[in-house]
Amino acid sequence: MQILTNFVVALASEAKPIIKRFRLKRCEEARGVTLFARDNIRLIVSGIGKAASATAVGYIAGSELHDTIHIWLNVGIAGHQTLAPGSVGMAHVITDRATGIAYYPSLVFRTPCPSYALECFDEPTTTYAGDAMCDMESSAFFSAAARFSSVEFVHALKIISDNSAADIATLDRASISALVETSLDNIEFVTDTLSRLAAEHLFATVLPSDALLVRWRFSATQKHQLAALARRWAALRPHDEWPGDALQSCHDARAVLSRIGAIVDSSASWLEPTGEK
Amino acid sequence: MIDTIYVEARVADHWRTSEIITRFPQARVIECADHRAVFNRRQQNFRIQKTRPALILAHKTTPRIYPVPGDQHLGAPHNYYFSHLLNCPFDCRYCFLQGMFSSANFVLFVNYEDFMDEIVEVCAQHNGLVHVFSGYDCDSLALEPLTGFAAYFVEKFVPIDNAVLELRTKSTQIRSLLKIAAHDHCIVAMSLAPEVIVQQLEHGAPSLKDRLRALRRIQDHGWSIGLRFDPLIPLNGNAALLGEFFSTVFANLDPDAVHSVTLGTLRLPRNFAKRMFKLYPAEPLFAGPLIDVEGTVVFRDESADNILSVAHDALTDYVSADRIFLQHGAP
Repeated sequence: MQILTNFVVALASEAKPIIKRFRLKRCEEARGVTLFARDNIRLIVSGIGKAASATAVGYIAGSELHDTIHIWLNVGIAGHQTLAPGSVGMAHVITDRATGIAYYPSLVFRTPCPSYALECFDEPTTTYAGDAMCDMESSAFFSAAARFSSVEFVHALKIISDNSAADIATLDRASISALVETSLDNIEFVTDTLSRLAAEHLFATVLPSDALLVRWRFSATQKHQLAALARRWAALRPHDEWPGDALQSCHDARAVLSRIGAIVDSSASWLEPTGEK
Repeated sequence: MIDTIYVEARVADHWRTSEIITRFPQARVIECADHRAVFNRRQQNFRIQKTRPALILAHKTTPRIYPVPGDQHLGAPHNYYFSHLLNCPFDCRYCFLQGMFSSANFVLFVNYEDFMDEIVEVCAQHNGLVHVFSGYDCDSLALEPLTGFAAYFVEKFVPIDNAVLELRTKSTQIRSLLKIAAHDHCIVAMSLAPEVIVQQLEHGAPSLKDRLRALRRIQDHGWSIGLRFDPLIPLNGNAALLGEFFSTVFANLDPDAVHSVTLGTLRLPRNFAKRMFKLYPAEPLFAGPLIDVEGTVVFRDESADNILSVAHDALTDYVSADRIFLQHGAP
C-alpha cells in the first residue's frame, strides 16, 4: 500500500515551478504523456481541455499498483471576473458549463486560501461567470479522479491569471510560471495535509500472506477468509508474530484457516476495562 | 466547528436557514440543487469526513415519518420515527450510521413544520397510543443549540392526545427542556454505557457521569426519562461490571420515575458491517467475536445471550420487568 500525490496540470509552464519545488524528474519511459516523478509524487502535463485532463488521470491511475491511495490536485491558472491576478483559490464546487453537472470536492481541512466556485468551459472565455473561477479542465479532472479516490482527496487549486480588467492575451509562459510560483506554499500545504489525512485514516496494516499462499492452495473464498483473519490478527494481536511455526502441521488451506481462527478467537479480551474517567 | 455549509436551493430563503448561517459567519456557504448531490454520493469517506463534517441544510420531502422497523419500540400499539437530522457529532464506533451513510456530513431538514403536519396526520389515523421516535438517524439533542429541534417539537406534541415523542440522546444539551414545563407527551431517553465503553468506543460523547447528571436534572424537572442500554457490549467479567454500572446509574436517578428501559446487543446489517470494517480495519471491536446470522452481524451467541440475560436480571432489582424492553431487530 502506498500513498501517491498526483499533480495534473494542463501546461508545461504551469508545471515548471512545481517540478522544481518537488524536485521531480522526467519519466523517459512514459509513452504518449509527459510525466514527472519522485518517490511518492507524480506530475503529469495533460494538455488543455477536459478530455486531456481525464486521460491524464486515467494514465496515472492505470500505471500504479491497485492498492495505491491516490491524492489528486489539479493546479493551473484560471480566470475570474474581479479577483486580482495572483489570487489563489480552491474549488468548493466545480460545474461543467456544458452539461450543468456539479461536483463537490470535500474540504475536510482548513484551506490555506479562500475557496470559490469553479466553472469549467469547453473553450477559452472572457465572459466570466459571476463569482466563479473559470478553467477548461477541472470538471473532467474531478469526474475522472473521483473514480480512483474519495472526494476528500480530489481538489483543484487555481491561480487567477486574468479578469475583466487584465487580458488573458497578455499571458506568456514566463508570466504563467511566475503565477504558479507564488502559490507553491499553498500547494505544498494542501498536499501535506491530504497526505497526513490519508496516512492517519486510510493506511491499514496488512499482514503479509504471500508465504501462506505459496505453501498452501487457497480458493478465492479462502483467500478472503485469510484476509479477514489477518485483519483480525492485526487488530487483536498487534504485538504477536503473524503465525509461522503454529501452522507447520497444517496439511491444507482449510486447516490453516482453522488454526489461525482458533488463535484469533482465543485472543485476550478485545476491550479491557481501563478505569473511570 | 462548522466551516462549510451547503444550502439546498429550495431552502435558501427559509428563515431557519438564514438563522443558522448567521451563527457561522466564517463558514463558506455553497448552494446545491439537491442535498443528495453532496450527501451520500459514492466515493466519499465517512471516516475522513467525520474529522470535519460539513452542514447541509435541506428540505425533507414526503414521506417524513416512517413506521418503526421490527420490535424496536416500547410496547405502544403504533410506532413511528422521523429524522429531522442525519448523522451525529459523536463518533461511536459501533454506530450503524457509519455503515448506512457514505457521508458523515450533517443533513438538517429545516422544514420542521412539514414534519409536524405529517405527524399530526398520522396520529389522527390511530385511536391508540402512538410513540414517535426522533433519534434513529441522529442524536436528538446533541446539536440542539444549532437546530432548536426540541425547542420546536416538544411543545407541539402537547395537543396530540394519543402521541408521545421520544428524544434519544447521549448529549447533555438539555437547556431547552429545562426552559419549558414538563408534560406527559415526551420521554427523554438517554443512551448509557459503562465508562470503559464510553472511553473506548463512544468518542466525543459525554462521560457517563455527565450524562447521569443531565438525566437527573431532566428527571427533577419533571420529564419522563428512558434508559437505553443498547448496544450492550460484552466485557470480561460481565456480571460484576454490569452490576456495578447499573448500581451507579440508579444511585443517581429515581428508579420509580423511569418510564422505560431498553436492552439490545450489537446488531448490524451485513452491508453496513462490511463498510464499517473497511473504514476501521484496526478497530478491535470489529475483530471481536462477531458472526453473520442471516444477514445480520452480531456477537456470537454465548457473548450476546450472556450479557442480555445478565443485564435483564440485574435491572429487575431496580425497575419492574414490564418496563424493560428487549430490542432485537437490526436497524
